[in-house]
Amino acid sequence: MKVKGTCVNLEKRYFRLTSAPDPSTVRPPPVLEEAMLRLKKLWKDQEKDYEYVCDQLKAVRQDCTVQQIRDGLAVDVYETHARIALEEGDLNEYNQCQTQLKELYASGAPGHEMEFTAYRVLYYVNMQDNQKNQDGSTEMLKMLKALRPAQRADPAVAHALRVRQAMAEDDYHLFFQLYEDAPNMSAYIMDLMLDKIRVKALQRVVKAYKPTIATDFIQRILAFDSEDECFELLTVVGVKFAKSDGSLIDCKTSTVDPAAWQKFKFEKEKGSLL
Amino acid sequence: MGNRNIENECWKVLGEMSDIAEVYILLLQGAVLLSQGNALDAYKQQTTLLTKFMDVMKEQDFPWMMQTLHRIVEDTRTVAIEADKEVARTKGHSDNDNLRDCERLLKLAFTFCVTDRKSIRDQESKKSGFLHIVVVLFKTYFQLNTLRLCKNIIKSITRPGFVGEEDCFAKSDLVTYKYYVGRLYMFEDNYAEAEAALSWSLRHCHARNPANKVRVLNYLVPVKLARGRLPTPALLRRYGLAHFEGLVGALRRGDLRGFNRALDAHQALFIAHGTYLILEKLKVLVYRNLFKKIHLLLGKHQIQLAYFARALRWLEVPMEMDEIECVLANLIYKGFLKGYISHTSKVLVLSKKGDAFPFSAIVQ
Repeated sequence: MKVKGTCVNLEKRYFRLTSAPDPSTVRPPPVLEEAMLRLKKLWKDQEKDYEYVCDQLKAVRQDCTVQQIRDGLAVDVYETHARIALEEGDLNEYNQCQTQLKELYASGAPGHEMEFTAYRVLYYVNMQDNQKNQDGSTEMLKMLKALRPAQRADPAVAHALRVRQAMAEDDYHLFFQLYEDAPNMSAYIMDLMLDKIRVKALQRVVKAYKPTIATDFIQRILAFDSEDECFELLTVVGVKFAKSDGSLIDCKTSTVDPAAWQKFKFEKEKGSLL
Repeated sequence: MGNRNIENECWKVLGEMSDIAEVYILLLQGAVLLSQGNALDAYKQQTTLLTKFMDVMKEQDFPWMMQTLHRIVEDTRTVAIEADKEVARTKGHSDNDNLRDCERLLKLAFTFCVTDRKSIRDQESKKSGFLHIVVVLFKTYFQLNTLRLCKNIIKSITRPGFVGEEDCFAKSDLVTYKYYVGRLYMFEDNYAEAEAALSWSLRHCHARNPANKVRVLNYLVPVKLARGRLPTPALLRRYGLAHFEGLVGALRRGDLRGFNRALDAHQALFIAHGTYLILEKLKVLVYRNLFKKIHLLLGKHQIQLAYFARALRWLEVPMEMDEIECVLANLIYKGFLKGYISHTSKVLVLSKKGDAFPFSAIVQ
């Protein structure tokens, strides 16, 4: 359906469409541009919460879709929503935007293609482990195959590719170096991988070091924000301490159970919903 | 020849074999459409042809029909690909819709053969023809990147009734089938099974078709490398596998710089083949071989980490201490290295019981 909108409202609730919309309810490009300026300001100034901004952005996206707007305006809408969704950890919404952006860039629409290509690489890296038993590494290879040399050379994309490499090699040292130097919003996606790489690192540490390893060494190399955060993970997975003050990990008696951490996180998140 | 003329000529020649006449009409009309550059309509014609031919085979089954079915199956896939190319030219991009539709038809053809009630050893059984269709299906799945669907096919044909009946199939179909199965296992990081399937395929490749051997070796070499087995330079030269030479040499020497360069130099090729990710993982073996050399040179079981740092600097791949400890931790965790790190002393202590660098840990 293609519609020519006439609505001039900057604010509009999102409703799922079941038929062609009334043109008087659809906003034309100039109005959408104004609506976007308004939403960006609201978000930046923290005047409205994510639920509101997300709803409004979905309405803008819908107005673009029904009018078949696929130019720089559409790109700006999806890029903005993708960035805000990343900030909020809304992966579902982010993924929808990411998918649309890929098609828009492919059709020649101008935008921050390199920035979002980097995010897409990281998103794939995060998804890959979950897909391990489905298509193995073929999705990753397909993605690598599709990258053009210019994309590969872009600093943000190159960074993302090195993150992929670090995860593939279980190179936790490299991962956390890259985490520290993450461009744009790449760190938000890397946050999703933190637990995985930290647990893997601990599995290796308790097996590799003897007789003990200093806890603050672990806190440093695994980039924990605080001592408490570090201790929480260590104790949940089954790490034992050689000193009662917790400053030394006893590698011989320690075990690292990834399932224990997953369960703990699940319970914690469940608790925060009640 | 116009459509009406095609019909008239076929009926004239084959009038008494009305079903065969219909098949020929569909076949020739499809060929005309394709030659006119109308791949989309040609594909529609091809689907009708395949369906019609299977109907004919249900009623009258002559020995030549299985080979004809195989040819029609192959053509259906070829025309579907051309149709998708046509879509890409007009729409600007293609979602492989025709190839996906083709996959559905190929499954029908597969089921048509595999569910035949006659024993596979019966000369008249359609069962002996299903493997060729499986091979065409696998090519399709690899192209569509829906590899998980291959598993369903493999499951349905590796039931007790078929295992051990391999002499009922054409050798060329078995070779291709095992080639694809080997590639599937490789993607699942199941290198033992991948090696078994690909090795079988290589051994049974026709001697007069070195191109097929090269195809198999492009996957068998990485799989063997992952299990610690290096090909000889002579083998790589004989089959034109120059893209592995630098990598294999670096692996043998424990040359991290050489390894990184060789991997980068042929990255596009390895990605295109689908072997880049498995080859990349070989870096851990390069480290193992490098550290083993240092151990042999020093002749000690307690090695200061500074020696590793020096070697890596010499290789122009400098690494700080934390990173070296990370590499060692991974080697110890994987069992490639038997020992432990003393963080405070900055020393690696190697096991004196047995081999500190057990080869058996690599072959898994």
